[in-house]
Order: sequence, then structure tokens, then C-alpha cells
Amino acid sequence: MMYKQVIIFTLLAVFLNPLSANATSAGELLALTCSSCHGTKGVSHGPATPSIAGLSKNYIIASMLSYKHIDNLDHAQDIVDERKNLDDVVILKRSATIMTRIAKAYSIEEIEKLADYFSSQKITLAVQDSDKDQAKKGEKLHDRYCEKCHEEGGIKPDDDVGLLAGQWQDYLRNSMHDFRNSDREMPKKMRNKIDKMVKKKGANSIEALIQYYASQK
Amino acid sequence: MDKIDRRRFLKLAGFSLASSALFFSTKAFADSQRIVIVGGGIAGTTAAIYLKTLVPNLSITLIEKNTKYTAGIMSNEVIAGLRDISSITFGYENLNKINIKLINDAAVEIDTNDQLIHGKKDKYKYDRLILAPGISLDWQSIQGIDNAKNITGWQRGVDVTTLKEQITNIKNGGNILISIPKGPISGPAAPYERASLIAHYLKSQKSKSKLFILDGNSPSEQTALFKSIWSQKYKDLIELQTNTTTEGVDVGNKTIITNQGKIKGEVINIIPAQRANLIAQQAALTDKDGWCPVDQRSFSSTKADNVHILGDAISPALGLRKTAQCANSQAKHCALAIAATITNNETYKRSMPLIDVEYSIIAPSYAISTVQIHKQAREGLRYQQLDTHVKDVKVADKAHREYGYAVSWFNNITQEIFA
Ligand SMILES: Cc1cc2nc3c(=O)[nH]c(=O)nc-3n(C[C@H](O)[C@H](O)[C@H](O)COP(=O)(O)OP(=O)(O)OC[C@H]3O[C@@H](n4cnc5c(N)ncnc54)[C@H](O)[C@@H]3O)c2cc1C
Ligand code: HEC
Ligand code: HEC
Repeated sequence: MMYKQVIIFTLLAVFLNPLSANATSAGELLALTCSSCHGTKGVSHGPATPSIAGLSKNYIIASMLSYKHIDNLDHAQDIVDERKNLDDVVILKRSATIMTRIAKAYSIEEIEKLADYFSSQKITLAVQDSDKDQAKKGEKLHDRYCEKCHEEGGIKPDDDVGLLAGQWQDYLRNSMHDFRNSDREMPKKMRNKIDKMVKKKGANSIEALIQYYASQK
Repeated sequence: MDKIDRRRFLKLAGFSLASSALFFSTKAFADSQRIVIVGGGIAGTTAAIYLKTLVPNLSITLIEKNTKYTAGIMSNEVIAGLRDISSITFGYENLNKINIKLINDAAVEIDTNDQLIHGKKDKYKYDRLILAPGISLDWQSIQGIDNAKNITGWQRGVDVTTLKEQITNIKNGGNILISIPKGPISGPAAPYERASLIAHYLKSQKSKSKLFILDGNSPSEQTALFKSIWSQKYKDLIELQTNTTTEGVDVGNKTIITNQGKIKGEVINIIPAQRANLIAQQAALTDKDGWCPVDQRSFSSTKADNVHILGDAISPALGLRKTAQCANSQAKHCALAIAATITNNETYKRSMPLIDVEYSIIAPSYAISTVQIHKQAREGLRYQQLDTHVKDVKVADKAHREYGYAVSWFNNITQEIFA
């Protein structure tokens, strides 16, 4: 019910051509399967499923492999360690409703192609409601605790940190919930920062951050 | 150095996506190809858009009998009063923008020898036909039914509104009957989703009423999944009777006659048995069972040349469910296969997984999903099913999230093809 207004009116105004003309990259074709959930070219209309356009290649590979081998993450790490070009990929435990079932359909070669394709798509910030006062608080918290890794207000997915600014807030809320419950493994230094922040500023600070990310347009 | 530090210090390997785009001189050939698509539902519209994008200079005409598409997906939310019908109704304005010709006409006859479609308004010649007309309802299996008056909520948009009114007007204590036919239907879990959402309404508004499901099928994994959820959420509101075939209906007495006896209800929702749309049956593109056999790679008909068939109309022998997600995926596979033939582009020939997902809404903020992953088999008609995953391990924990993702799926799949 809460979603109702959001669903009908969050249509992005631009018409996205679903494929580039004479599409020839295998990744682009493989990616056709993802669009019914993640949106054309990885730009989701929400309200919850994340946009994956413009995420970094390594982040996408790490996510897909972690989903695929959720029961044996060491094996997933072995797979990337064996491949020289994927040296930088770090597998962390993730939590999912559906991606653990879907990722099983793809080989590592296909995952790489998918990652090539989506990482080269343009980031489009989601148009969503947010609380102004909370967002203001969130901005300060972000600068202090998160900006070091999630640069430029969380809009830079470089260094494989995912996308925060303009990501669908329900998704970020789910991610934060999983991190804090240890259903998703946090990078150690991020955990330190978050623990410190919550201790000093209270658990509500998390929602303030989410509102800040949602407010970026 | 921990993992993240290690990574931060390593320079990111640059990657270039400068795919050595291959351009084909397809213009002359493509110009001479008339592609006609019959049926602008999920499958037909998806095929039109992707084929046009893959081979831009192709002439594509879409023949659709209605001016607007009313989705089956999320229609159960409308029936339960959780969503307005306008949110599941879509126009075709987007097709114009990418030069797909839309014709508002109903195909009444297809001559596959002359490659000619007879519409109500005009005739259309094709070089290649994509037929995606969905299902027809088989009224004959039920005695005493008046197909003009029976509200199925399975095909006609108006049904959805009528059914909603009937449910809203039911007196507290009046019972609702939902009859499910034996055999494949469009939206395999949709009757159970409908029952769930009506039960949600009854629970808060008409708690003395009860909903009976008369299911012609034997119990399955799906029934077990829903039953376990109902026992927690809708205890005593839903009663499921499997192996119960509806044989007739006594409209005056509001009674359904089944192989297990008679049952009375204030609101009766009979979902009849289904088969490929009459237009496919008429064109002799169906098997004895009423469904269209097709090749699992290109979805071309095994009964006629230059005809592809997509979506709900195809034969259950392929092992694919009749869902919107599956119709959408099939259309993409078919568009690639056709583009491969027309442009001789090898990349288009790659084998890709076909992923079928069906979300079911149980209540506001409570949904579940089932996933089937298929791969094209090397030979034979049937898709090779790699994985079915009916039940997520912890349904209750994730059901709230799955609701948001289900709504997102609906928004994204409809935006992909109708915007
Ligand atoms: C109540 C209900 C709930 C459902 N819920 C879900 C769900 O939650 N998830 C899911 O994945 N699937 C669901 N489905 C199934 C889904 O709607 C279908 O699988 C999907 O629409 C099939 O696509 P299609 O293109 O084959 O047929 P359709 O989408 O039915 O399109 C067929 C089109 O062809 C047109 N047409 C027919 N005959 C002619 C003719 N002679 N000339 C011109 N045009 C013609 C029709 O007007 C229609 O527009 C549900 C179905 C129902 C009925
Ligand atoms: C049925 C819908 C569905 C399909 C199809 C789907 N996804 Fe997802 N995806 C999700 C959902 C929902 C999530 C959130 C995690 C979860 O609950 O599963 C997600 C999460 C992700 C994430 C993590 C994003 C982040 O920022 O952390 C990536 C990466 C991803 N998907 C990639 C893909 C790719 C690539 C494909 C196509 C091969 C794909 N997905 C197909 C629904 C889908
Ligand atoms: C030391 C660097 C670092 C700091 C500081 C940091 N993060 Fe992260 N963050 C990461 C990395 C790396 C990832 C990717 C983890 C993965 O691959 O799953 C990440 C992922 C995330 C995600 C998941 C994104 C998604 O799409 O699911 C969220 C949300 C997030 N961080 C929020 C925060 C917040 C809020 C702060 C500040 C309180 C913060 N992070 C501070 C490094 C950091």
C-alpha cells in the first residue's frame, strides 16, 4: 500500500532504447534476461529492485559469484583467484531473495560478459521521495563516516563499493539490514565506521543516511 | 592488509567495451522482409521491440485487436481493491516512436500457404509471421455455463472490475467459489494468488465469509507451498479441494456441480480449461491437445513455414510455464533467432538461459516467488530444466522484501515494453 503512489508515478521520462543498434556484444545479449527485473539497460523503475547500470565490473562479478556459490564462498574465491584478470575481486557473503537462484544459470565467462556490459552503462539516479531534514543529517554523517570509500556522496561506484546515491531506498534499507544482521559480510573497515557511528549517533543515523542517498537527484 | 585495502591499492584493470561492432549490409534484404506480429500482449510486444532494435530497417507490423492492453499480472490486486485498474492498463504509443506499425484489427483467419492474414478490416501479407495471441477459454467442458455471463477474470479486462464489485458486495457470511481447471493455464499460480488476496479482503471486511477452491488438479509442490502459507495467514478462510473437477454449473441456484458433489456460493468464479487462442487453432497450428508445437530454439511452428509462435499459446511439451516472464524471455530468444537468420550474425545464435520467474502476492507487503531455469537442449523439443526452486528457504523472513521486488518486476517488465 505504501508503494502505491510510488509505483504508478515513478516512470522515468526518457525512452530508453532497449539495445544499441546492431547490438553485437555477447554481454548485451545475455543482459536481455536481466531487464525485466532490473530495468532496460539495468536502470530499475523500482520501488525496490536495485539499478545495476554503472556498477563496477568487479562489484558485479563478486555479487554474482557470491550469489551463485552462496553455499561455498571459498570455492567462489578460488574461481576468481585462479583467473589473473580477476585478481582484485573479493568475495563477500551476500543475502538474497532470488539472485541466489538466478546466478546459478551463468558460467564465470558469462558473468564476466554481463559485468562488462552493465558496468559500461550510464548510472541513472532513481526519482523517489525522501525526507529533507533526515537527508540533511545524513549528508553530514556520510561526509564523516562513509565518504572516504563511497566518494562524491556515494555516486561513485569505483573501487567496487556499489552505488548508494540514487539507488532505490528500499534496496539500501535491505542491504543495511543484512549488513547489521551479518547476513551480508561487511568490509571490516566499513563495519568499524558503522559501529562507531551507531554508538555515537544512534541507530536512527542509518535511516538518515538512506534518506540522504535517496535525496540525490 | 585486509581484502579491501589490498584491492584499494591495486590499480583497477581498465577494460574497454569497444566491441568491434560489426555492421552488416542487411538493408536490401531487410527492406524486402515483411514481419507481421499478431497479438500485442507481453510476447508480441516484446518481440516487436527487440526485433526492431536488432534489425532497425526491418518493416514490422503489429496487429492487435484491442486499443489498450489490460495485464493479467497484478489484476488480482485490482480484484482485492489494492490497486486501480488504470495501473494495469497500457497503451501502444511507444511503438510509433520506433517505427513499428500498429494496426488495430482482429485477425480472423490465417492462410499459412498464401502467407496471408484476414483481419476484420483488411488483409495482410507476411513474409514471416509471429503469432502471440495468448489463450482461448474452453467453455464446452462445463455444462450449463453461459460464456457471456461467466466472469472469469482471465481474459477480459472488464471481468476484473466486475469481479471486484461482486466481492465488495458480498454479504458477510456469503461464500466465494473459485474453480480451477485441470491442465495448463495462463498464470499457473494466479488462481492461488487470487484466492490469497480475496482472503486478505475477507479477513478484514467479511470475516464470516469463506473461500472454497475447487481445483481439478492433483496436489503439487505449488499447492503445498500455498497451503503452508494459508495455514498461517488465512486459517479457516480458505478451503482447498484438489482433484475436484467442475462438470457443470446451475446458475439460478448459484451452485457448482463437481465430480465430488455440489457446492453453493454467493460469488462464483469459474476459470475454464484453456488452450491456444482460437486463431491458432483455426490456422491448424495446434496439436490435438489444443496447443501449438514449436521448435525450442527459434519458436518456429512445426506445422507451417515462416511462422513463429510465442507465449501462452505454445505447447506444454516444451516444459515452459505460461507466465509473463517466460513469454517475455521467449520473445527475446525468438527475436535473436530471426535476427540471426536475416543478418547472418553469429553472435545472435548463442544459447542463453531462459529464466522464468513467477511472483505471487499473498497480501500487501507479502509475496513469494518461484523460479525455473531452462537451457535449450541440444536436441528434441523440450527445454532442459536446470533448476526449479519452488520455495525459498525462509518464506516468512523474506516475504516483505519479495513484495517490493514483485512490484518492481511488474513496473520494469511493463516499462520495458509499453513505455
Ligand atoms: C489473472 C492472471 C494473473 C496472472 N499473473 C501472472 C503473474 O503474476 N506473473 C506472470 O508471470 N504471469 C501471470 N499471468 C500470466 C501472463 O499474463 C501470461 O502468461 C502472459 O500475458 C502471456 O503473454 P502472451 O503474449 O502469450 O499473451 P497475452 O499477454 O494474453 O497477449 C495476447 C494478445 O493477443 C491479442 N489477440 C488475441 N487474439 C487476437 C487476434 N485474433 N487478433 C489480434 N489480436 C489478438 C490479445 O488482445 C492480447 O493483447 C497471469 C495471468 C492471469 C490471467
Ligand atoms: C526475477 C528478478 C531478477 C532477475 C531476472 C535478475 N535479478 Fe538481479 N536482483 C534481483 C533482486 C530482487 C536483487 C536483490 C537481491 C535479492 O533479493 O535477490 C538483485 C540483485 C542483483 C545484484 C546486486 C546489486 C547491488 O547493488 O548489490 C546484481 C549485481 C544483479 N542482481 C545482477 C543481475 C544480473 C546480471 C541479472 C541477469 C543475468 C539479474 N540480476 C537478473 C532480481 C533479479
Ligand atoms: C573502508 C571503506 C568503506 C567505508 C568507510 C564504508 N563503506 Fe560501504 N562499502 C564498502 C565496500 C568495499 C562495499 C562493497 C561490499 C561488497 O562487495 O559487498 C560497500 C558496500 C556498501 C553498501 C551496499 C551497497 C549495495 O548496493 O548493496 C552500503 C549500503 C554501504 N556500503 C553503506 C555504507 C555506509 C552508510 C557507510 C558509512 C557509514 C559506509 N558504507 C562506509 C566500503 C566502505
